[in-house]
Amino acid sequence: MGKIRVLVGKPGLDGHDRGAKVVARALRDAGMEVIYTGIRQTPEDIVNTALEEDVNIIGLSILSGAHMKLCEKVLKLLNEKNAKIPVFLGGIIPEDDIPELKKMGIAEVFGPGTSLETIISKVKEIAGTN
Amino acid sequence: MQELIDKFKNGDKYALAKIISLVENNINYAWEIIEKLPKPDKDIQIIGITGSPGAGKSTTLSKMVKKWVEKGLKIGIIAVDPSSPFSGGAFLGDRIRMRNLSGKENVYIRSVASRGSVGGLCDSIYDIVDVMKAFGFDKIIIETVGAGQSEIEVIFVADTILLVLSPNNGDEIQLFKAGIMEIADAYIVNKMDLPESDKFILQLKNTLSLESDSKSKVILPVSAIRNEGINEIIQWIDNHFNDIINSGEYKLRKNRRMKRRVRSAIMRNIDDIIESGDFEFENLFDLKNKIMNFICEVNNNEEN
Repeated sequence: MGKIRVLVGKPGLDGHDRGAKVVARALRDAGMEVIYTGIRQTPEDIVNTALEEDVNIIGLSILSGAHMKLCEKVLKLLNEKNAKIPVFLGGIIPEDDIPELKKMGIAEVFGPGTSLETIISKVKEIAGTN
Repeated sequence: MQELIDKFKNGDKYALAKIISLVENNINYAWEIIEKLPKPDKDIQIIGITGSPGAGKSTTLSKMVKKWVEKGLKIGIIAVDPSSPFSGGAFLGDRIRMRNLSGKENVYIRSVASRGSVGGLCDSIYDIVDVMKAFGFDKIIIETVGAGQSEIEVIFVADTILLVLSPNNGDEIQLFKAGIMEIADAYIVNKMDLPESDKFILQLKNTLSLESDSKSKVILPVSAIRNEGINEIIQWIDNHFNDIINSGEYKLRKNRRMKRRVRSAIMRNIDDIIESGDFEFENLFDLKNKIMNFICEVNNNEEN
Protein backbone atom coordinates (compact mmCIF):
# COMPACT_ATOMS: atom_id res chain seq x y z
CA MET A 1 0.00 0.00 0.00
CA GLY A 2 1.16 3.54 -0.73
CA LYS A 3 0.68 6.63 1.39
CA ILE A 4 -2.56 7.10 3.29
CA ARG A 5 -4.62 9.66 1.37
CA VAL A 6 -7.11 11.55 3.52
CA LEU A 7 -9.79 13.98 2.46
CA VAL A 8 -10.50 16.69 5.02
CA GLY A 9 -13.67 18.52 4.17
CA LYS A 10 -16.19 20.88 5.66
CA PRO A 11 -19.73 20.19 4.55
CA GLY A 12 -22.49 22.66 5.29
CA LEU A 13 -22.68 26.39 5.72
CA ASP A 14 -20.50 27.22 8.71
CA GLY A 15 -17.36 29.03 7.65
CA HIS A 16 -15.00 28.28 10.53
CA ASP A 17 -12.25 25.93 9.46
CA ARG A 18 -9.43 26.49 11.96
CA GLY A 19 -10.02 23.07 13.51
CA ALA A 20 -10.15 21.31 10.16
CA LYS A 21 -6.88 22.99 9.13
CA VAL A 22 -5.15 22.05 12.38
CA VAL A 23 -6.18 18.43 11.93
CA ALA A 24 -5.18 18.48 8.24
CA ARG A 25 -1.78 19.85 9.16
CA ALA A 26 -1.30 17.25 11.90
CA LEU A 27 -2.16 14.42 9.52
CA ARG A 28 0.31 15.88 7.01
CA ASP A 29 3.01 15.89 9.68
CA ALA A 30 2.15 12.28 10.43
CA GLY A 31 3.13 11.41 6.84
CA MET A 32 -0.28 11.36 5.17
CA GLU A 33 -1.30 13.00 1.92
CA VAL A 34 -4.14 15.31 2.86
CA ILE A 35 -6.55 16.70 0.29
CA TYR A 36 -8.15 19.78 1.76
CA THR A 37 -11.37 20.86 0.08
CA GLY A 38 -12.06 24.09 1.95
CA ILE A 39 -15.30 25.30 3.49
CA ARG A 40 -18.95 25.14 2.39
CA GLN A 41 -18.93 21.88 0.48
CA THR A 42 -22.04 19.91 -0.30
CA PRO A 43 -22.12 16.19 0.55
CA GLU A 44 -22.10 15.60 -3.24
CA ASP A 45 -18.88 17.65 -3.61
CA ILE A 46 -17.23 15.72 -0.84
CA VAL A 47 -18.14 12.27 -2.08
CA ASN A 48 -17.24 13.17 -5.66
CA THR A 49 -13.85 14.54 -4.58
CA ALA A 50 -13.12 11.53 -2.40
CA LEU A 51 -13.72 9.19 -5.33
CA GLU A 52 -11.80 11.32 -7.85
CA GLU A 53 -8.86 11.52 -5.50
CA ASP A 54 -9.08 7.85 -4.52
CA VAL A 55 -8.68 8.59 -0.81
CA ASN A 56 -8.47 5.91 1.89
CA ILE A 57 -10.48 7.84 4.46
CA ILE A 58 -12.69 10.93 4.75
CA GLY A 59 -12.68 13.39 7.66
CA LEU A 60 -15.58 15.81 8.10
CA SER A 61 -15.60 18.84 10.36
CA ILE A 62 -18.98 20.26 11.38
CA LEU A 63 -19.81 22.90 13.97
CA SER A 64 -23.18 24.09 12.79
CA GLY A 65 -25.34 21.48 14.42
CA ALA A 66 -26.34 19.98 11.07
CA HIS A 67 -24.08 16.94 11.60
CA MET A 68 -26.84 14.33 11.65
CA LYS A 69 -28.30 15.32 8.30
CA LEU A 70 -24.94 15.99 6.63
CA CYS A 71 -23.34 12.74 7.80
CA GLU A 72 -26.38 10.75 6.78
CA LYS A 73 -26.24 12.28 3.31
CA VAL A 74 -22.50 11.66 2.86
CA LEU A 75 -22.84 8.03 3.96
CA LYS A 76 -25.87 7.52 1.72
CA LEU A 77 -24.04 8.89 -1.32
CA LEU A 78 -20.97 6.74 -0.62
CA ASN A 79 -23.24 3.76 -0.32
CA GLU A 80 -24.96 4.56 -3.61
CA LYS A 81 -21.61 4.72 -5.36
CA ASN A 82 -20.62 1.47 -3.73
CA ALA A 83 -17.56 3.14 -2.18
CA LYS A 84 -16.21 1.59 0.99
CA ILE A 85 -14.41 4.66 2.32
CA PRO A 86 -14.56 5.09 6.11
CA VAL A 87 -15.68 8.48 7.45
CA PHE A 88 -14.63 10.18 10.68
CA LEU A 89 -16.11 13.30 12.17
CA GLY A 90 -14.84 16.21 14.24
CA GLY A 91 -16.26 19.50 15.49
CA ILE A 92 -18.91 20.45 17.98
CA ILE A 93 -20.88 17.24 18.34
CA PRO A 94 -23.11 16.66 21.41
CA GLU A 95 -22.20 13.50 23.34
CA ASP A 96 -25.76 12.25 23.01
CA ASP A 97 -25.56 12.14 19.22
CA ILE A 98 -22.41 10.03 19.08
CA PRO A 99 -24.03 6.58 19.47
CA GLU A 100 -26.49 7.33 16.71
CA LEU A 101 -23.74 8.65 14.40
CA LYS A 102 -21.78 5.46 14.94
CA LYS A 103 -24.84 3.37 14.29
CA MET A 104 -25.29 5.30 11.08
CA GLY A 105 -21.78 4.21 10.02
CA ILE A 106 -19.47 7.03 11.12
CA ALA A 107 -16.20 5.31 12.10
CA GLU A 108 -15.14 7.73 14.83
CA VAL A 109 -16.17 11.07 16.37
CA PHE A 110 -13.55 13.45 17.77
CA GLY A 111 -14.96 16.13 20.04
CA PRO A 112 -13.23 19.31 21.27
CA GLY A 113 -10.17 18.59 23.39
CA THR A 114 -9.20 15.39 21.58
CA SER A 115 -5.41 15.28 21.31
CA LEU A 116 -3.86 15.30 17.85
CA GLU A 117 -1.99 12.09 18.75
CA THR A 118 -5.31 10.35 19.37
CA ILE A 119 -6.70 11.57 16.06
CA ILE A 120 -3.58 10.51 14.13
CA SER A 121 -3.38 7.02 15.58
CA LYS A 122 -7.11 6.43 15.16
CA VAL A 123 -7.06 7.65 11.56
CA LYS A 124 -4.15 5.32 10.80
CA GLU A 125 -6.01 2.47 12.45
CA ILE A 126 -9.23 3.12 10.54
CA ALA A 127 -7.37 3.55 7.25
CA GLY A 128 -6.00 0.09 7.93
CA THR A 129 -2.29 0.53 8.30
CA ASN A 130 -1.67 0.88 11.98
CA MET B 1 -7.93 -5.89 -12.27
CA GLN B 2 -9.85 -6.77 -15.44
CA GLU B 3 -13.07 -5.45 -13.91
CA LEU B 4 -11.30 -2.17 -13.14
CA ILE B 5 -9.97 -1.89 -16.70
CA ASP B 6 -13.42 -2.57 -18.14
CA LYS B 7 -14.86 0.24 -16.03
CA PHE B 8 -11.99 2.47 -17.12
CA LYS B 9 -12.79 1.74 -20.77
CA ASN B 10 -16.40 2.68 -20.10
CA GLY B 11 -15.30 6.12 -18.96
CA ASP B 12 -15.70 5.59 -15.21
CA LYS B 13 -13.74 8.42 -13.52
CA TYR B 14 -13.46 6.47 -10.31
CA ALA B 15 -11.80 3.56 -12.09
CA LEU B 16 -9.38 6.12 -13.56
CA ALA B 17 -8.67 7.32 -9.99
CA LYS B 18 -7.89 3.77 -8.83
CA ILE B 19 -5.59 3.07 -11.78
CA ILE B 20 -3.67 6.30 -11.16
CA SER B 21 -3.10 5.18 -7.57
CA LEU B 22 -1.86 1.83 -8.86
CA VAL B 23 0.78 3.33 -11.15
CA GLU B 24 1.71 5.91 -8.54
CA ASN B 25 2.35 3.25 -5.91
CA ASN B 26 3.78 0.47 -8.07
CA ILE B 27 6.49 2.15 -10.05
CA ASN B 28 7.91 -1.16 -11.25
CA TYR B 29 4.61 -2.49 -12.54
CA ALA B 30 3.33 0.81 -13.89
CA TRP B 31 4.28 0.05 -17.47
CA GLU B 32 2.63 -3.37 -17.31
CA ILE B 33 -0.58 -1.73 -16.12
CA ILE B 34 -0.42 0.96 -18.81
CA GLU B 35 0.13 -1.72 -21.45
CA LYS B 36 -3.34 -3.09 -20.66
CA LEU B 37 -5.09 0.24 -21.24
CA PRO B 38 -6.49 1.45 -24.58
CA LYS B 39 -4.15 3.41 -26.84
CA PRO B 40 -5.23 6.98 -27.60
CA ASP B 41 -6.11 7.44 -31.27
CA LYS B 42 -4.86 11.03 -31.53
CA ASP B 43 -2.14 13.33 -30.25
CA ILE B 44 -3.27 14.87 -26.99
CA GLN B 45 -1.89 18.22 -25.93
CA ILE B 46 -0.16 18.21 -22.56
CA ILE B 47 -0.11 21.67 -21.04
CA GLY B 48 2.27 22.48 -18.20
CA ILE B 49 1.58 25.39 -15.87
CA THR B 50 4.37 26.50 -13.62
CA GLY B 51 5.35 29.54 -11.56
CA SER B 52 6.02 30.60 -8.01
CA PRO B 53 3.62 29.91 -5.13
CA GLY B 54 0.78 32.39 -5.13
CA ALA B 55 1.28 33.61 -8.70
CA GLY B 56 -2.19 32.35 -9.53
CA LYS B 57 -1.64 29.04 -11.33
CA SER B 58 -4.71 27.24 -10.00
CA THR B 59 -7.02 30.23 -10.37
CA THR B 60 -5.93 30.92 -13.96
CA LEU B 61 -6.17 27.24 -14.80
CA SER B 62 -9.68 26.90 -13.41
CA LYS B 63 -10.89 29.81 -15.53
CA MET B 64 -9.29 28.32 -18.66
CA VAL B 65 -10.73 24.89 -18.07
CA LYS B 66 -14.20 26.34 -17.59
CA LYS B 67 -14.03 27.80 -21.12
CA TRP B 68 -12.85 24.56 -22.68
CA VAL B 69 -15.57 22.60 -20.91
CA GLU B 70 -18.16 25.03 -22.28
CA LYS B 71 -16.88 24.10 -25.74
CA GLY B 72 -17.53 20.46 -24.94
CA LEU B 73 -13.93 19.37 -24.35
CA LYS B 74 -12.96 16.74 -21.81
CA ILE B 75 -10.13 17.96 -19.57
CA GLY B 76 -7.86 16.11 -17.16
CA ILE B 77 -5.91 18.02 -14.51
CA ILE B 78 -2.95 16.83 -12.46
CA ALA B 79 -2.17 19.24 -9.62
CA VAL B 80 1.16 18.58 -7.92
CA ASP B 81 2.01 19.90 -4.46
CA PRO B 82 5.17 19.23 -2.45
CA SER B 83 5.67 16.38 -0.01
CA SER B 84 7.39 17.08 3.27
CA PRO B 85 11.05 16.02 3.29
CA PHE B 86 10.61 15.24 6.98
CA SER B 87 7.33 13.38 7.38
CA GLY B 88 6.66 12.42 3.74
CA GLY B 89 3.17 13.85 4.16
CA ALA B 90 1.61 16.50 1.94
CA PHE B 91 -1.10 19.13 2.06
CA LEU B 92 -2.85 19.15 -1.29
CA GLY B 93 -4.92 22.31 -1.48
CA ASP B 94 -5.23 23.24 -5.15
CA ARG B 95 -8.79 21.98 -5.47
CA ILE B 96 -9.96 24.92 -3.38
CA ARG B 97 -9.20 27.28 -6.28
CA MET B 98 -10.83 24.93 -8.74
CA ARG B 99 -14.07 24.34 -6.89
CA ASN B 100 -16.16 25.66 -9.78
CA LEU B 101 -14.90 22.64 -11.75
CA SER B 102 -15.58 20.03 -9.10
CA GLY B 103 -18.31 17.62 -10.04
CA LYS B 104 -18.38 18.72 -13.68
CA GLU B 105 -18.93 15.73 -15.93
CA ASN B 106 -16.08 16.49 -18.36
CA VAL B 107 -13.43 17.43 -15.82
CA TYR B 108 -11.22 15.21 -13.73
CA ILE B 109 -8.89 16.68 -11.10
CA ARG B 110 -6.23 14.65 -9.37
CA SER B 111 -4.05 16.03 -6.59
CA VAL B 112 -0.63 14.43 -6.52
CA ALA B 113 2.17 14.77 -3.97
CA SER B 114 5.72 15.21 -5.25
CA ARG B 115 6.97 12.33 -3.05
CA GLY B 116 10.60 13.39 -2.93
CA SER B 117 11.00 14.40 -6.56
CA VAL B 118 12.73 17.78 -6.87
CA GLY B 119 11.91 18.88 -10.41
CA GLY B 120 8.54 20.42 -9.50
CA LEU B 121 6.59 17.27 -10.40
CA CYS B 122 6.55 13.69 -9.09
CA ASP B 123 8.48 10.64 -10.29
CA SER B 124 5.40 8.89 -11.62
CA ILE B 125 4.20 11.88 -13.67
CA TYR B 126 4.99 10.26 -17.05
CA ASP B 127 3.00 7.18 -16.09
CA ILE B 128 0.08 9.19 -14.73
CA VAL B 129 -0.03 11.19 -17.98
CA ASP B 130 -0.12 7.94 -19.96
CA VAL B 131 -3.06 6.68 -17.92
CA MET B 132 -4.88 9.98 -18.44
CA LYS B 133 -4.16 9.83 -22.18
CA ALA B 134 -5.65 6.36 -22.34
CA PHE B 135 -8.80 7.66 -20.67
CA GLY B 136 -9.53 9.90 -23.64
CA PHE B 137 -9.16 13.48 -22.46
CA ASP B 138 -8.91 16.17 -25.15
CA LYS B 139 -6.32 18.08 -23.15
CA ILE B 140 -4.28 17.24 -20.07
CA ILE B 141 -3.02 19.99 -17.79
CA ILE B 142 -0.23 19.61 -15.29
CA GLU B 143 0.13 22.18 -12.58
CA THR B 144 3.57 21.96 -10.97
CA VAL B 145 4.38 22.59 -7.34
CA GLY B 146 4.79 26.28 -6.61
CA ALA B 147 8.11 26.31 -8.43
CA GLY B 148 11.21 28.34 -7.66
CA GLN B 149 14.02 28.94 -10.09
CA SER B 150 15.15 25.46 -11.05
CA GLU B 151 12.08 23.22 -10.96
CA ILE B 152 11.95 22.69 -14.69
CA GLU B 153 11.06 19.00 -15.13
CA VAL B 154 7.78 20.13 -16.70
CA ILE B 155 9.57 20.98 -19.98
CA PHE B 156 10.15 17.25 -20.48
CA VAL B 157 6.55 16.23 -19.77
CA ALA B 158 4.48 18.93 -21.47
CA ASP B 159 4.04 20.07 -25.09
CA THR B 160 3.11 23.61 -24.14
CA ILE B 161 4.64 25.38 -21.15
CA LEU B 162 2.99 28.35 -19.47
CA LEU B 163 4.86 30.30 -16.85
CA VAL B 164 2.56 32.27 -14.58
CA LEU B 165 4.18 35.42 -13.23
CA SER B 166 2.75 38.18 -11.11
CA PRO B 167 3.94 41.79 -10.87
CA ASN B 168 4.56 41.66 -7.12
CA ASN B 169 7.15 38.89 -7.26
CA GLY B 170 10.59 40.46 -7.08
CA ASP B 171 12.51 42.93 -9.16
CA GLU B 172 13.79 42.94 -12.71
CA ILE B 173 16.86 40.91 -11.78
CA GLN B 174 14.64 37.85 -11.26
CA LEU B 175 13.72 37.99 -14.93
CA PHE B 176 17.35 37.66 -16.00
CA LYS B 177 18.02 34.42 -14.17
CA ALA B 178 18.44 31.10 -15.94
CA GLY B 179 16.16 28.17 -15.27
CA ILE B 180 12.45 28.66 -14.98
CA MET B 181 12.41 31.98 -16.87
CA GLU B 182 13.78 30.21 -19.96
CA ILE B 183 11.41 27.29 -20.28
CA ALA B 184 8.14 29.02 -21.08
CA ASP B 185 6.40 29.04 -24.45
CA ALA B 186 4.17 31.78 -23.07
CA TYR B 187 4.42 34.07 -20.08
CA ILE B 188 1.10 34.63 -18.37
CA VAL B 189 1.28 37.83 -16.36
CA ASN B 190 -1.48 37.46 -13.81
CA LYS B 191 -2.86 40.09 -11.42
CA MET B 192 -3.01 42.81 -14.07
CA ASP B 193 -5.37 44.52 -11.66
CA LEU B 194 -2.33 45.46 -9.51
CA PRO B 195 -0.98 49.00 -10.02
CA GLU B 196 2.61 47.95 -10.83
CA SER B 197 1.56 45.56 -13.61
CA ASP B 198 2.27 47.79 -16.63
CA LYS B 199 5.82 48.44 -15.49
CA PHE B 200 6.32 44.71 -14.98
CA ILE B 201 5.12 43.91 -18.51
CA LEU B 202 7.59 46.46 -19.87
CA GLN B 203 10.47 44.92 -17.93
CA LEU B 204 9.50 41.47 -19.12
CA LYS B 205 9.33 42.64 -22.74
CA ASN B 206 12.76 44.22 -22.43
CA THR B 207 14.24 41.06 -20.99
CA LEU B 208 12.72 38.81 -23.63
CA SER B 209 13.80 41.07 -26.48
CA LEU B 210 17.41 40.27 -25.55
CA GLU B 211 16.83 36.64 -26.50
CA SER B 212 17.44 35.69 -30.10
CA ASP B 213 14.33 33.54 -30.54
CA SER B 214 12.09 35.91 -28.61
CA LYS B 215 9.62 36.24 -31.45
CA SER B 216 8.28 32.82 -30.62
CA LYS B 217 7.71 33.83 -26.99
CA VAL B 218 4.45 35.41 -26.02
CA ILE B 219 3.28 37.55 -23.14
CA LEU B 220 -0.33 37.10 -22.12
CA PRO B 221 -1.62 39.62 -19.57
CA VAL B 222 -4.56 38.40 -17.48
CA SER B 223 -6.46 39.05 -14.35
CA ALA B 224 -7.71 35.62 -13.41
CA ILE B 225 -9.91 36.75 -10.55
CA ARG B 226 -11.62 39.25 -12.86
CA ASN B 227 -11.79 36.65 -15.63
CA GLU B 228 -9.95 38.99 -18.04
CA GLY B 229 -7.61 37.74 -20.75
CA ILE B 230 -8.67 34.11 -20.47
CA ASN B 231 -10.05 33.76 -24.02
CA GLU B 232 -6.73 35.02 -25.37
CA ILE B 233 -4.79 32.39 -23.41
CA ILE B 234 -6.88 29.46 -24.55
CA GLN B 235 -6.83 30.62 -28.14
CA TRP B 236 -3.06 30.88 -27.99
CA ILE B 237 -2.76 27.40 -26.41
CA ASP B 238 -4.93 25.79 -29.09
CA ASN B 239 -2.84 27.45 -31.83
CA HIS B 240 0.45 26.52 -30.20
CA PHE B 241 -0.26 22.80 -30.42
CA ASN B 242 -1.01 23.03 -34.14
CA ASP B 243 2.05 25.21 -34.65
CA ILE B 244 4.46 22.79 -33.02
CA ILE B 245 2.97 19.82 -34.86
CA ASN B 246 3.28 21.58 -38.22
CA SER B 247 6.79 22.87 -37.57
CA GLY B 248 8.14 19.50 -36.47
CA GLU B 249 8.88 20.83 -32.98
CA TYR B 250 6.35 18.40 -31.50
CA LYS B 251 8.38 15.43 -32.69
CA LEU B 252 11.55 16.87 -31.16
CA ARG B 253 9.78 17.45 -27.85
CA LYS B 254 8.31 13.97 -27.87
CA ASN B 255 11.73 12.50 -28.47
CA ARG B 256 13.21 14.56 -25.64
CA ARG B 257 10.39 13.34 -23.40
CA MET B 258 11.00 9.67 -24.20
CA LYS B 259 14.71 9.97 -23.38
CA ARG B 260 13.93 11.68 -20.10
CA ARG B 261 11.32 9.11 -19.24
CA VAL B 262 13.64 6.17 -19.77
CA ARG B 263 16.33 7.92 -17.77
CA SER B 264 13.91 8.66 -14.94
CA ALA B 265 12.74 5.02 -14.87
CA ILE B 266 16.35 3.81 -14.63
CA MET B 267 17.17 6.38 -11.94
CA ARG B 268 14.24 5.20 -9.86
CA ASN B 269 15.51 1.66 -10.02
CA ILE B 270 18.97 2.76 -8.98
CA ASP B 271 17.40 4.66 -6.10
CA ASP B 272 15.62 1.48 -5.05
CA ILE B 273 18.92 -0.42 -5.07
CA ILE B 274 20.63 2.25 -2.98
CA GLU B 275 17.75 2.53 -0.52
CA SER B 276 17.18 -1.18 -0.06
CA GLY B 277 20.76 -2.44 -0.28
CA ASP B 278 22.90 -3.02 2.76
CA PHE B 279 25.83 -0.91 1.64
CA GLU B 280 28.89 0.26 3.45
CA PHE B 281 28.54 4.00 3.04
CA GLU B 282 32.00 4.66 4.50
CA ASN B 283 33.57 3.68 1.20
CA LEU B 284 31.78 5.62 -1.49
CA PHE B 285 34.15 4.58 -4.27
CA ASP B 286 33.47 0.93 -3.56
CA LEU B 287 29.73 1.59 -3.36
CA LYS B 288 29.70 3.30 -6.76
CA ASN B 289 31.56 0.35 -8.32
CA LYS B 290 29.16 -2.15 -6.79
CA ILE B 291 26.18 -0.33 -8.24
CA MET B 292 27.80 0.04 -11.66
CA ASN B 293 28.67 -3.66 -11.62
CA PHE B 294 25.13 -4.52 -10.68
CA ILE B 295 23.74 -2.53 -13.58
CA CYS B 296 26.25 -3.97 -16.04
CA GLU B 297 25.48 -7.50 -14.86
CA VAL B 298 21.81 -6.97 -15.53
CA ASN B 299 22.72 -5.68 -18.99
CA ASN B 300 24.98 -8.64 -19.76
CA ASN B 301 22.42 -11.16 -18.61
CA GLU B 302 19.83 -9.66 -20.86
CA GLU B 303 22.17 -9.67 -23.84
CA ASN B 304 23.06 -13.35 -23.41
